Amino acid sequence: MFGTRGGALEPRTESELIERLRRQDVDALGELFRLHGGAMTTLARSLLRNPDAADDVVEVALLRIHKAAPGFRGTRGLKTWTMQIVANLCRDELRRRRFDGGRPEDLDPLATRGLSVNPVAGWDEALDREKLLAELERAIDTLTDDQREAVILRDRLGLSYEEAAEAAGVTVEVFKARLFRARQGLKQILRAERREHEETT
Amino acid sequence: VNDSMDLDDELESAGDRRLGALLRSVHAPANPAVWQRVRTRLAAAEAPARVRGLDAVLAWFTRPAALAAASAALVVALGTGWSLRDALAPAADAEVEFVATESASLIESLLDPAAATAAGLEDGGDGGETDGAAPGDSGGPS
Repeated sequence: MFGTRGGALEPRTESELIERLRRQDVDALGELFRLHGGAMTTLARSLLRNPDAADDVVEVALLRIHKAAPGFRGTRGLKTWTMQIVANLCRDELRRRRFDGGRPEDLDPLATRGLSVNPVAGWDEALDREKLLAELERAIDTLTDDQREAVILRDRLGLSYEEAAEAAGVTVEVFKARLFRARQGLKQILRAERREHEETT
Repeated sequence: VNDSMDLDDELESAGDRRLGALLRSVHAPANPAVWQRVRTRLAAAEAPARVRGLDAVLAWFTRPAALAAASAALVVALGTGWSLRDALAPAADAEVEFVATESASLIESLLDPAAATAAGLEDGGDGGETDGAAPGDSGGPS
């Protein structure tokens, strides 16, 4: 099995995995899915807002990786390449259909989109987390496709700026500008929530 | 904007840290069914082409629509064959019967002079016996 370092593969084991993927080893593809399947699914569900459509995209992404692996040079990281393929497929899917931003009365947008919440250390327990996360998810819906993609790649999946920019298919400068605007909008939502919470307590 | 972005790199402010924590707290687990579907599709794609071709032919012929069409074609062919058989059989019998009747009439006419006369096979126009010459024979030296 592969050794990991903070969610990323050790360079030697990653190169071994890439070599096996190049030989179109199906078990190696399974290893890739085990390692990055969660991130692939999170990215697709966050962007598409539809768990079924997102799972279809992940399935197609894995098949595309298997087909394209013999030509993968490995200069980019495997995770970056994988996220780029998923992001491209999501963009294609969003172009094909109108973005469904959900319904304002939807009480649990995370659940309907197939997303779940990890407990966060040092969380401010006074705040209603579920309500805040639901508001944040709706706020993400109001962003443009590019801004939403930037927030998900960088802040939700924790990719570096270089990795996230490559996955988004833009330069690091363009990516940072998108992310900056996206965060500004989201922070306004959070501030409003906090004010509302302080007024009620 | 650039200054703000530099600060943003490390999510310096409490608001940024909070936003980052909230965003990172949401994730989706990988769906094992997706991997099963991928394995199935890859296995199907890697099967030998010959087997795939045979499977495709079998699959095509066992489709409900193909089965229904083949059954319908068989019924139509059988029905048409049966109808043609019924239609052609009486005509053939009638022709055989007509030929047999005509043959019998000719024999009877040859054997029975009265019938032959009635049938116009003998020259009974002058009411007398013929000298054996054929009708129209002048009887003169040839």
